[in-house]
Amino acid sequence: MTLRPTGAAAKRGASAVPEILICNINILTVSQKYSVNHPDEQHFNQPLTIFGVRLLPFMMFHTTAFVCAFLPACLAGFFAIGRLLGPTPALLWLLVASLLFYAQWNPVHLPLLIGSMGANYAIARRLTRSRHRTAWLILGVLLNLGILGWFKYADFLLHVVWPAAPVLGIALPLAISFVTFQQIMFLVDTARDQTGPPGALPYAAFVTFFPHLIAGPIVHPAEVIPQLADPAVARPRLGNLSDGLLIFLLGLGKKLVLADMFGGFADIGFNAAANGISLTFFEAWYATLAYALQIYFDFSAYSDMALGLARMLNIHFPLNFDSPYQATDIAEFWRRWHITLGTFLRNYLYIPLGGNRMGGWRQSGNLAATMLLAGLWHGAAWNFVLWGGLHGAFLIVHRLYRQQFGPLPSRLGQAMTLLTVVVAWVPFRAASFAATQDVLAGMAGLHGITLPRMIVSYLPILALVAEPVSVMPSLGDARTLSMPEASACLLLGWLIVLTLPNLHRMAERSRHWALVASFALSVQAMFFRPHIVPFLYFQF
Amino acid sequence: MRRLLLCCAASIILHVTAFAWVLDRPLSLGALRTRIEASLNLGVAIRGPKLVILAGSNGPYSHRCAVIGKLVGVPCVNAGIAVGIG
Repeated sequence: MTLRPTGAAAKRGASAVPEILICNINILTVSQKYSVNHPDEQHFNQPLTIFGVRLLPFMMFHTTAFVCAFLPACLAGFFAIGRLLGPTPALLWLLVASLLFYAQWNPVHLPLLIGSMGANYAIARRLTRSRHRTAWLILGVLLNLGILGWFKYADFLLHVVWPAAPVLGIALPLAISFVTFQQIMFLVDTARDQTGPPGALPYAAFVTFFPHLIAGPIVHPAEVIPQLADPAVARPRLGNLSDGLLIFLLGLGKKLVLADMFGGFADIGFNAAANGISLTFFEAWYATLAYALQIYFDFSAYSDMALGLARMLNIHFPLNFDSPYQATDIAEFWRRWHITLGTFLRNYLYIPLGGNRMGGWRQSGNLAATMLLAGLWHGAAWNFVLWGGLHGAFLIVHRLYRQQFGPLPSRLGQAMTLLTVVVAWVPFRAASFAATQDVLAGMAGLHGITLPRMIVSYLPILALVAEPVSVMPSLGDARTLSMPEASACLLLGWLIVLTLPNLHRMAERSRHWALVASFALSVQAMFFRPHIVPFLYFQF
Repeated sequence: MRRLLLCCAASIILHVTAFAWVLDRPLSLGALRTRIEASLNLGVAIRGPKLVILAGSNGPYSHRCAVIGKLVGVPCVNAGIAVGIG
C-alpha cells in the first residue's frame, strides 16, 4: 500500500511514499453504533430457520426484500392469477402471501393467528343463527380479550398483584393488538348487522391482509370485506397502481429519510436518561422534540405505506393520519392522530360506556377510562398508563374549559395542544418512571443549562443563562457541531409538520415534487443504511 | 405512471449531480484535505523506511508519534484523521 502525495506535494513532483502502516479502525465503536440487528428487530423477529439458514428474508415495508421481491411478486401473482383463474384463486394467493409475510417474523405464532381467525369466524356464524346472540357475542369478545390479555398483559398484571413473582416471559405475537380489535369489531358488527358473516375466504383475506396486518389501520370490516369480495378486485387498474405506488414511495421517504433521522437524535437523549445520565435543558428538549417528530413521521409513513399498498391491490383504506400537530385543541388532535384507533375506541368503548349522554362527571369518567385503556393498549407498562391518563386529563380539562369559556384563539390553542402532546410523549418514550422524571426535570432546567463553548463564543450573551461546555454528551453525536446540526434538522421537521399539508391533501403536482425530493434519498437509505429501524407501532 | 417514473428518474439524476458536483466538496477544500496534505508532505519529507499511522479519530487523539517513533526506532507520521471536525 502506498500513499500518493497530492496538492502542493504532488506539484513538487514528490514520489509515492513507502511506509509501514498501522491501520487502527475503531471496530468496537462502529459495531456498537450500527449493529445489523437492531434490538427492536430482535425482539419480534425470530425467523424460521433450518440448520441455521433463514428460509425467508427479513421483511418490513421499508426493507429491500419487501420492496424489491415480495411486493412485485405479490402484485404480479395477484393480477396474473386474477386474469387467468378468476378472483377467488387471486384472493387465495393474497391470503397465502399475507400469511407468508406474517410467518417470516415468527412462524410459531402463525397457528395462533389462524386459530383465532377460525374461532372468530365460527362464533360469528353461530351468532347469526343462535337465539342467544348476546351470549355468543360476549363469548367471542372475551375469547379475543383473553388471548390479548394472556400474551400482552399476563406478566404485567401478575407483577401488579405480586411484585416478587418470577417473569413468565411470554413472547408477544406480532400484531395481536390490531388483530384482536379487528376481530372484536367483526363480531360486534355481525351481531348488530344480522346479515350473516361474509364468506370465509374474504374474511381471512381481510384479517390477514398484509398492508394492515401488523400495525393497522384498524379498518371497519364492512368497509373492506365487500371490496375484497368484489369480482373485479384482481383486475389491474393503472390509476390505482400508480396512485398507490406514489403514496407508498412518499411514505417510504418519510420513514427512511425523516423518521429514522429524528429517531437517532431521540434515542441518544432517552437512552442516556435510561442509563441514569441527567439531561440538561437543551439535551432534554432536543430529545423530546426529536421523538415527537420521529413518532409523527414514523406512524404517518406507516399509514401512508399501508394505504398505498392497499390501493395498489384495488382496496381503499380510510385516512389514518391527518396532520395531527396542526390541531387547535386536544379533542381535534385525537380526531387526527391514529384516526382508526380513535374511531374504534369511540364506537366500541366510549359510546357503550355512556359517552357524553350521562352528564358531566360520567362523561369525564368515560373519557378517563377510554384514554387509560388506550394507553394500556399501546403497551403493558405504567408509562403507557401514565401517557393515557395524561391525555384523559387533557381531554377533561379541555371539555370543562370549553364549556365555561368557549374555544381558545386557534394559534394559542394549537400552541398549547402541541406543548401538552409533546410533553406527554416523554413517559411514552422513556424506558422507566425514573427516566421520565429525569427528562422532565431536564426540560424544566433542573439539571442546568449548557451550550457548546463555540456557540457561546459567537454569542457571549448566552453565557448569562448557559454554562459553556466543550460538548453536550447526550445531544446528537456529542460534537461541537451537533447542536447546530440537530437544530437545523428539528427546524426542518417542525416546519414540515406545522406548515405543509399532508400528502393526502396535497395537489397532485406537489406530490410529484415531493417524490423528486425524496426518492433518491429513500433509495440511498434503503440500500446503504447500517441497520433497519422497525416501525415504532410494530411493538404495540 | 409515466409521470411517476419520470419523477423517480429526475430525483436520481438530481441526487447524483448534486453529490458529484456540488455537495461532495468539503473534503477537497476543507480542513480534512489540509490535514491529509500536511501528513503526506511530512511523509514525503522523511526519507527511507517510516511508520505511518492510518486511522480514524483514534489516530490523532490516542497515538503519539513522538513516543511510538522512539519505541520502534523508525520515523513516524501520524496520518490519522478525525472526521468529526467538531
